[in-house]
Amino acid sequence: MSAGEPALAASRADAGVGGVVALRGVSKDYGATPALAPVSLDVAPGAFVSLLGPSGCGKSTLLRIVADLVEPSAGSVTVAGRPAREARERRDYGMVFQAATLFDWRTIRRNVELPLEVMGWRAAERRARAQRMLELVDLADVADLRPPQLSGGMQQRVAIARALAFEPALLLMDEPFGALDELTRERMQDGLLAIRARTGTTVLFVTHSIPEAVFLSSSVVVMSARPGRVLAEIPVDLPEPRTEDTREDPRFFQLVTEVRETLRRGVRP
Amino acid sequence: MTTPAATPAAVAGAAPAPGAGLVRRSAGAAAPLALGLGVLVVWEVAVRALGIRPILLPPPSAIAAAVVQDLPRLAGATWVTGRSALLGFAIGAGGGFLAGLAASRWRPLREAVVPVGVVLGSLPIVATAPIFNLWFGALSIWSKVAVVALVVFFPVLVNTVAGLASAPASSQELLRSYAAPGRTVLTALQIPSALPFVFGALRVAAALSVIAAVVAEFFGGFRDSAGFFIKTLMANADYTGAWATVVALSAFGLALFGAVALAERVAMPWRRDDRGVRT
Ligand SMILES: Nc1ncnc2c1ncn2[C@@H]1O[C@H](COP(=O)(O)OP(=O)(O)OP(=O)(O)O)[C@@H](O)[C@H]1O
Ligand SMILES: [Mg+2]
Repeated sequence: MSAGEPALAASRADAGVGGVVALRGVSKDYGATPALAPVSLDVAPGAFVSLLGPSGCGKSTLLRIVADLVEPSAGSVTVAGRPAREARERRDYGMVFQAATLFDWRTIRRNVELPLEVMGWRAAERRARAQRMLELVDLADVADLRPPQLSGGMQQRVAIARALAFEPALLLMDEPFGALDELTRERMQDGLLAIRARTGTTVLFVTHSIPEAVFLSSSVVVMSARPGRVLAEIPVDLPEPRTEDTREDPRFFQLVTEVRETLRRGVRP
Repeated sequence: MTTPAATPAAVAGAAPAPGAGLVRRSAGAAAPLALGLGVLVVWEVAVRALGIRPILLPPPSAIAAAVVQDLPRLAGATWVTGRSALLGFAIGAGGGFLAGLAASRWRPLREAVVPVGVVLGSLPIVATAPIFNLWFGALSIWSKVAVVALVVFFPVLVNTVAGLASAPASSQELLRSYAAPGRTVLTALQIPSALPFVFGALRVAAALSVIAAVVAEFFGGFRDSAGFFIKTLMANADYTGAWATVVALSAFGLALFGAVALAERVAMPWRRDDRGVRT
């Protein structure tokens, strides 16, 4: 194993780009069980980085560490040039959790408004923004229903709309499209890329779908089985903007294969 | 023939037709009504057929006649008792909820409050009523109110504390990711999560409060109160009259319970969106 040592991941930061997310030797043990091996990772401004790895390898844990929802056992984390905690307090990121986590006592619209309410937006502005976000995820027609009345995939889209609502400079997304059918999934992917093209948002994205990771990302970080470490960071040199043609591009298939083989190496070292 | 046009707006889980809720609600009331009627009929028939003496068990028809005959006096007595119950319920419930909020903010209090609350909440009324009579005077409404408030306070307190802590960790994380201040976490997450717990306690407390008020009156109270009535009617062997008083009190208790159930529906509209009949 020569290609894909963790050192490779750090190379970009060494090149002088200030990472929006910078992890240095970050690890996490839950009690005596290691969940995440020391990981170093940089996410450049405007980058779309996907994390790919076997179930239980610590992807959600890594995202939670970036979000300052979990304390790392070792290592340092900076987000937008600040300690993770400060970044959270400054609301520098928006997060889509692996579970939708909607509040049953709020209508769909008011769920999307929740972060805006916490951040003290005025009612009219909240409402307008929520409406726009719901249209974006094709759910404007259910705005006045409540979460239990929606399917799992619809709930997940509400959670996406909610995370996008305040247009954070950094999006942390944990399998946001996991519960969606293939076509809706592709529409959501296109929607996400469109938002990113408009706002320049940096994205750290967890997925189990190799084609999804390749299609969306500027680079794909492949992790080993638990405790997860970075096996390789594979830059995706597909032309921008990504369109339907991208999915047919021979280079797309090459990259999918490359990622798949790297993943295999992590399962059987 | 009107075929319903295909409605594209028929989204998943859209609210049922307006009529459906009403039908379901009246169906929900039908079962207990039928059961109640059945019990009354069996009771009446059994008392007559077996020739049970009215001292042991008067027939429902006799009780009903006594209620009708004595209605103004019964209504007055029920109100005297009921207003102690209402006041005690309001004070106990309000106090229990506020104390629960305070306890949930302050950890040592929260940990102490549940065991202490369970013990104090199960103090028998026969012990508390004479004490409060001593403190507030047997002929003061406040001695009855205090007995009721004590019975209501602790279940509401304990359930409020449990309810405020019941919000799932994932929801707390979400608010943490917004750096939401504690006050926002309380109002946006913890209190809505606690409401089902609080209303569960209030339903039980509503019934308890009427019982507590009557029992308190057994230990001395107004001469026009239901508790005093029952005591004297029993002493005079007017068992039908005593039963009639109990019926009047039950009607009041039921009304209080109904008011709590109504408040619950108003306070938690989301709990009836997807569930038809609430239990
Ligand atoms: N709060 C916790 N306490 C103890 N162990 C935990 C906790 N959270 C996660 N773990 C463990 O840490 C490991 C990594 O979990 P994590 O959720 O980060 O995995 P993941 O890569 O997101 O998996 P998946 O793809 O299935 O979502 C798992 O083995 C899990 O059991
Ligand atoms: Mg996960």
